[in-house]
Amino acid sequence: MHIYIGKRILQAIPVVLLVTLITFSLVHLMPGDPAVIMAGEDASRETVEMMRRAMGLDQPIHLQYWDWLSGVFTGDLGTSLRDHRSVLPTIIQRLPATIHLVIASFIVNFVIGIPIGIISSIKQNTFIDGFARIFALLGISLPNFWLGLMLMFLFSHNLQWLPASGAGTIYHLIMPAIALGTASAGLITRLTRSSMLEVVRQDYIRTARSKGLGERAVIYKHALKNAMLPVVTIFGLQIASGLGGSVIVESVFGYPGIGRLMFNRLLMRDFPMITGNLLVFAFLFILINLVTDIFYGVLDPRIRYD
Amino acid sequence: MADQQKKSPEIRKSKSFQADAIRRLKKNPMGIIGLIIIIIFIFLATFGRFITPHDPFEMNVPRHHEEPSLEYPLGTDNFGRCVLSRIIFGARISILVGLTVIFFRMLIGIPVGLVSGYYGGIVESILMRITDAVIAFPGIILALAIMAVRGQGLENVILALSVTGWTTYARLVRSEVLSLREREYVQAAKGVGFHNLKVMLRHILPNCLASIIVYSTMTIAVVIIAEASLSFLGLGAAARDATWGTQMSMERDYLRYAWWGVTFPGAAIAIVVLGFNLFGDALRDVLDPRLKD
Repeated sequence: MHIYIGKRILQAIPVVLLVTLITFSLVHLMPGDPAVIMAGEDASRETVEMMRRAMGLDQPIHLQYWDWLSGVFTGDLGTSLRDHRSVLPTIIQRLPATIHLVIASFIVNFVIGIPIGIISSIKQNTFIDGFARIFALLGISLPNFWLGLMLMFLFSHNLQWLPASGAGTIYHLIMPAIALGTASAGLITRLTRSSMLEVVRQDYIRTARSKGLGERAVIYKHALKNAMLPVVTIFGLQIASGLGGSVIVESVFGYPGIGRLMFNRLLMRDFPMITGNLLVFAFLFILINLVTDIFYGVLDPRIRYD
Repeated sequence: MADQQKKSPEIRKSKSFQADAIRRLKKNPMGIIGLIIIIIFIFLATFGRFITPHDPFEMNVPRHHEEPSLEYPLGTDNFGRCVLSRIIFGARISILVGLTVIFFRMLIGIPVGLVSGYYGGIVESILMRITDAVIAFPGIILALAIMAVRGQGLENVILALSVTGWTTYARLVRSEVLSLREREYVQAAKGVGFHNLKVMLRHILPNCLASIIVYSTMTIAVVIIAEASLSFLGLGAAARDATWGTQMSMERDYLRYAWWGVTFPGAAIAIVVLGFNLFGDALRDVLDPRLKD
């Protein structure tokens, strides 16, 4: 087990370095001069030059990367070009809102997805199964921003049950969480269903039945545990797609998380904030994936000997 | 299947396979519905210009935000343009972006997967770590960053969505190659002394095609949504391109009084995406031998 975890962590190191390289190069390719933005559009050439030296932008590119990288690993992601605040504290301040949103959408996913998937597999090829499959496909097919707007139109503009934008209460979370979680719920329904159908054909299920266990025990004690393995593996991917989707959904609902922060700063060309956000998104993903892999290894011993 | 392929790679396989595939597709009503949606979509994309009830770009400001009526079946937008005509017009761009992006993703992802799966070792390690690094960024966020570098426009949308999404092809093809490269016919081809490139392209790649086709059908749907998302956020296609996403982006502020401006382009996306998903599902049932009856 320790070897397995060690191997996974070692594999993550080059990925982390590549991620920093991609982020750095991408933001450097963006049009606009950080020194000009920092000094102000109407600053004199001397001021801009001074600013450029102060920011280390006169250094060769690999030295700039090195400086920035050593900052990254000490937690210094630089200063915003727009509000001159430190990047990392700004992101950390916004992070909880997005985490709440992603968790809420996860509740939507799993609370809807897993039970429907199970029922659909137990009642395979019945009316209920057909209905569940259409529900799942529909969920995957609805663009999240459109679903968000439709919910807003119905529940805020017409019925006036829920606030159309902002954050702070649980009511603010409902619509963004549904908009963000529906596609994943569809995906998880499908995955649970196909995984259950696969598992119930296995020998050990036949054994469980033939030794006289009740159907309920067979499904919930034997089949479900094994069928959940593939569902666990896409945990990480779902969180990542939730983080990605947060950019869109937060912008639809004016929700103050890091998705909207990232998007606004992208439009403002606030380079340090963009790099910071990209890194936080990618590092979160790598971390979540690492945890999922290890968790998966714990759940399924076969994986460790891969 | 492996033996059949060695004897006569094309003729015998495709004939029986096609007949079998069509037979099983016919038994799948959802797949047929999906196919019909796709055919209508492609028809509108191809001939839409000739059948729009109005000029999709003709402005008629005094008649802005008119409710759906006989003259304007889906209403008018903020500039008095016919929403239905604009949706029909937008189909062309959606399919164009969808197909082009898939093509470029394959162009990057398939060679990466083939090479890393076939050679293994250090080559595989390097290519797979690069793949992991690209996957680490949520696709839409990386695409947005690339759009910020390159600016609005369809070519840039295609570029942004291509360089972010090839990773799944790479992983898919790699995992197929890993299981295929030990097969007898691959070993035989190698033993005969065929060039590695020939073994990969002639003996391994054709056996990955089924998964690639199924995955691509589903991915067109994902790409259409991604393009719409970028355009909706204002960092995608330019306003003059009139994609479904830009139409929604321009109308979202008027949702409260003119719901049709946002609702119908979004519904068009949802229907087309559903079509590709339904058809993709059916294709998987047809092409995946494990589910053969």
